[in-house]
Amino acid sequence: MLKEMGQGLGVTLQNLFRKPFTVLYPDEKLQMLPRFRGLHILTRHEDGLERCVGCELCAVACPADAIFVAAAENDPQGPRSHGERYAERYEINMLRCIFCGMCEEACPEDAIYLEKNYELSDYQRDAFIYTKDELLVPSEKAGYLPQR
Amino acid sequence: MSATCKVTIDGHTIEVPAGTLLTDAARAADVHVPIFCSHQKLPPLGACRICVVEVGLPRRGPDGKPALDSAGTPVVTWMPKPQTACTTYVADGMQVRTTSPEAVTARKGVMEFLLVNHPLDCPVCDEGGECQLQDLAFAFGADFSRMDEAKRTFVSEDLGPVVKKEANRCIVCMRCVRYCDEIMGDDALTAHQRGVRTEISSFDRQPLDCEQCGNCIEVCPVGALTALPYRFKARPWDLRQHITVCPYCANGCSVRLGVRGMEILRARGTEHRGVNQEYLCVRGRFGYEFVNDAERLSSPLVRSGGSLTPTGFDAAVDFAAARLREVAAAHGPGAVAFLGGEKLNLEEAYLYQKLARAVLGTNHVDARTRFTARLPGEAVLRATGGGRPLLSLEDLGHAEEVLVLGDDLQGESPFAQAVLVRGQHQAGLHLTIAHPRRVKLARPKFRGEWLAYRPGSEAALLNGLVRAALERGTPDGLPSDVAAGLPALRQAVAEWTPARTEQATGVPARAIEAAAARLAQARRRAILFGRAFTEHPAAADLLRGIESLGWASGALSAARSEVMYIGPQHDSQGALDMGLVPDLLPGYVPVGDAAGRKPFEQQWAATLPAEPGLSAPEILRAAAEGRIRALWIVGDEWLRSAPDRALAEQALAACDLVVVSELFLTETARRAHVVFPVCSFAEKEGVVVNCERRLQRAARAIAPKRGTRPDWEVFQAVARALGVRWSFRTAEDVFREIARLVPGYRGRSWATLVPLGPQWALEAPAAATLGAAREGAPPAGEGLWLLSGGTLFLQGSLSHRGRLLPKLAKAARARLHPAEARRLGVAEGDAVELAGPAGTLRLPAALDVEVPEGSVFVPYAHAEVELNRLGAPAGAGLKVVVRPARVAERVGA
Ligand code: SF4
Ligand code: SF4
Ligand code: SF4
Ligand code: SF4
Ligand code: SF4
Ligand code: FES
Repeated sequence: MLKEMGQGLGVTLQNLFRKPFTVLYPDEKLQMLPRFRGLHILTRHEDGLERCVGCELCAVACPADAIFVAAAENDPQGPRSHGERYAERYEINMLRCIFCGMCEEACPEDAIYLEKNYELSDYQRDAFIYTKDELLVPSEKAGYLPQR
Repeated sequence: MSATCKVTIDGHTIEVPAGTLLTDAARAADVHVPIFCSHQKLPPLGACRICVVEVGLPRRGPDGKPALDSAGTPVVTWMPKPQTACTTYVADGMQVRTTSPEAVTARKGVMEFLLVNHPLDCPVCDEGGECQLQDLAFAFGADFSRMDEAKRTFVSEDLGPVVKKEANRCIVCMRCVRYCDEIMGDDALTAHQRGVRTEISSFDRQPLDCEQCGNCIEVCPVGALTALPYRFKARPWDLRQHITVCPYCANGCSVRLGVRGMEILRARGTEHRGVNQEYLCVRGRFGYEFVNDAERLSSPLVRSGGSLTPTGFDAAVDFAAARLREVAAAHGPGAVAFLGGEKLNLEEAYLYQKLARAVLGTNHVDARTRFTARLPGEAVLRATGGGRPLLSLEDLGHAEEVLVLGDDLQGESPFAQAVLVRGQHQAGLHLTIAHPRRVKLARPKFRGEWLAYRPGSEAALLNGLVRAALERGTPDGLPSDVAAGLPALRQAVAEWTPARTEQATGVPARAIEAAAARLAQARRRAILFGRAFTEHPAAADLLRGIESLGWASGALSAARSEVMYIGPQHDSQGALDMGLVPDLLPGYVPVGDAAGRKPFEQQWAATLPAEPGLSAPEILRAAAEGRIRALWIVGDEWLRSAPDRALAEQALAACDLVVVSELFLTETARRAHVVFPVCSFAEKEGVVVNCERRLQRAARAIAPKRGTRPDWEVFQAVARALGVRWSFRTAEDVFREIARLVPGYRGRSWATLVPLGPQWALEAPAAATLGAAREGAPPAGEGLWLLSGGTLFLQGSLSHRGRLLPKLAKAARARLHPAEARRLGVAEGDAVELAGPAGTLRLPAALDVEVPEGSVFVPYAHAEVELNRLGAPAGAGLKVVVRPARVAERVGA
């Protein structure tokens, strides 16, 4: 019996002097793996135009019905995307999203990616409906596509 | 040859009628054979080849019997190449394989060819999600393209305000071109170039000059033709789809509304469903805009002081009920009248007259507000055979001879026109169009006969036709009362020899005789009439003439023949059936018939007035003269529809109480004391009855706009405030009462009314009233005959609310024959003034050879045209003096 007790205590002692696994969030943050799926981004072409054409394939692929897209026709003078169509409204309800990545997979335009941001918290439910302004990458990141 | 053939498709053996196409046989056997170019309403073409299957026939021995192999099974000779199922007719013993390696490889090859030049457009293509090419490429295509040459490219075009063309996506199935030609009769589309460069467009590459129906879009299996009004609005999976009934004409097309959120985004037909299937005319397809209009009323209005003030529903109901009670108490129930109701659903029409008769005790009920003279409620029923079964519109297309009396079907009844065009094109139907103007169907390309009678000579034309038909002998199978009446009829029309008729109508004697002969001799014949005759001042006579012609020509007695009435609104027939006329209870029971009244009195627990009430034109006069003191007007812009504008204004001003049920604050509603905001067709459910007398259930597509209610709820609320205990919870409850009580509707069940309800008929048809039509006195004064008629793009005040329809309709013009215009010194675009007995109207002129000399044509559907300001037609019609407006304002052509 003593032997077993010694073994158990041994494990405890072993771990007592081991480097801890946990990090001191939020002072410290983990480096996410390349294929981690966090908050979505909407990407841009090199020329700065939106990649999304508002085809709604992401919306229909989404198992949680979290995406709302309403398309519109581009003004040929000042197009928002390549092609005739763009997403006039693009919204993701992050309270519904299950981070499955189906939207990313469905998108024929490489326009939507799940990026590494996991810090999604707020005081209002409404705030979790991420609109296009919040999702679209800034123009400085034109041409950026996450590596998968 | 046997009448049916046994076919085996993928091991399923079925028996189908000989002459069935393999594609249809496969559908019957539940085997999927993909198609693109084949279409249920178009003859086989075989353009796309996607339907290839392997076909084999039993080998026949020298004795003509199928040869058997040693095991005793028939030997099959397989055709060396796969065959297109959509062009192959079944044969007895035919064997078909759709999943054999040969068939699969062939289909895959065809798909590869179809995709050779197809752009990778799906994400921006409006067809995406409901594209047959997408679906079939997914099901049968390869996932890899071997093509690395550049694809051919075309520039996309807007073919007018409705059709967007993206020729890159076209698979040249020719459905659009053929549909436009063979069913719309418009021939607006064509294929330019050949082979891989084939491009569909209009002939001159200008915006399409056509009915703008959008049916080409509907039948295009890919996204080559898409609808501009729906451009990028939504994907099919965003839409809730509800099938309801179009509110714009008596054909009763099924309309599938696509709703996203609270907004109707599009309307479509549905293949294999409804009377119309995929067909919709421009109004049905694009006329829903008013439902979402911001100007819709959302609160009841009650007049206090000089103005209408928003009020709660209960307060408005109490107000209306109290005032109705006051008027009825002070002046008797005969001082209350109820107008309108052709746009109500059946249940609502029923409750409307029940409110009038059972609660207020008046028979002054009339839905036919446009009528210029009293017409017995039974006239239409008798003219169409007294309640004998009618043909379906589908069967109408298989008639051999169709006579259209006085109506321009393009404006009044576009689907019936399409049915006739298709019949003419595909089934050898012959058209006779009696109309003063050369309307679309009277154009030479439809190879019919145009009886261009002089305006005002309708009665003479009918009499002449009746006489000429009777000259051909007595039709077979006449009921005894008709047979007994024929000698008298013969006598009555004896004077109308072809020569005399020619003199009176201007239609050559030979043409009259020939038309009557065709009608009397055709195996299947039909006569169509509509508002041109019922709204005529001599309507009662004309309808008797139509009835006589129906019997004399055999159209009412021959098999698969009919006389059909095409009412002005989508539920005109229902309103008639439900007794929204002053002399009939629901089901054509005369109000004076004590025995017929009994069941109604028992069910309604009221004593019903036995005296027939006043008809709409009489109510108009009585109200203007102060004999009627309270009016309820539902779903009717009465100031526009009453035959005399000045009188209508006077009537509204003179009444102590005017209640209006409306969607918008119309001119009429502005003069009311109480306005109830009500639901549009898309926001309520109920039954409507089309011109085939078919009962169809319209579904509710969207929730009622806040503050509005279905009309029947308003009627019920007011009835309850007047102290009766109605407790209908749904329209279905009301329908149940109708099905218990109303002849012709007895025993109908709400559940059986979808997807395609039955056509009602009376077990005991009404007796015939034969006779010659008396001619109306020619209108006094000089001037041109005023001709009017419907417009394809507009119908009723609701159609004015959208943007697309008024834009397509363009501004109204007074149309004159060039010779007439020359006489008047008027050029195209000049403003002219029309002066009638009561007022004037100013419009730009247009020269039009299709309008006869001596008349001026003004369409009545435009918002800016208020023909009733000119005065009411009387006798044989109305004449107006046309002169150039003093200032020669040139309006852009
Ligand atoms: S990650 Fe999954 S659940 Fe979230 S929006 Fe995309 S598809 Fe929907
Ligand atoms: S993100 Fe991609 S899938 Fe979603 S609408 Fe835009 S283009 Fe289509
Ligand atoms: S027509 Fe069909 S297959 Fe072609 S781009 Fe449009 S959706 Fe895709
Ligand atoms: S436009 Fe559409 S319907 Fe017309 S030929 Fe091309 S694919 Fe067929
Ligand atoms: S034909 Fe008549 S019922 Fe059919 S869509 Fe047109 S207006 Fe509506
Ligand atoms: S569907 Fe048979 S060839 Fe097109």
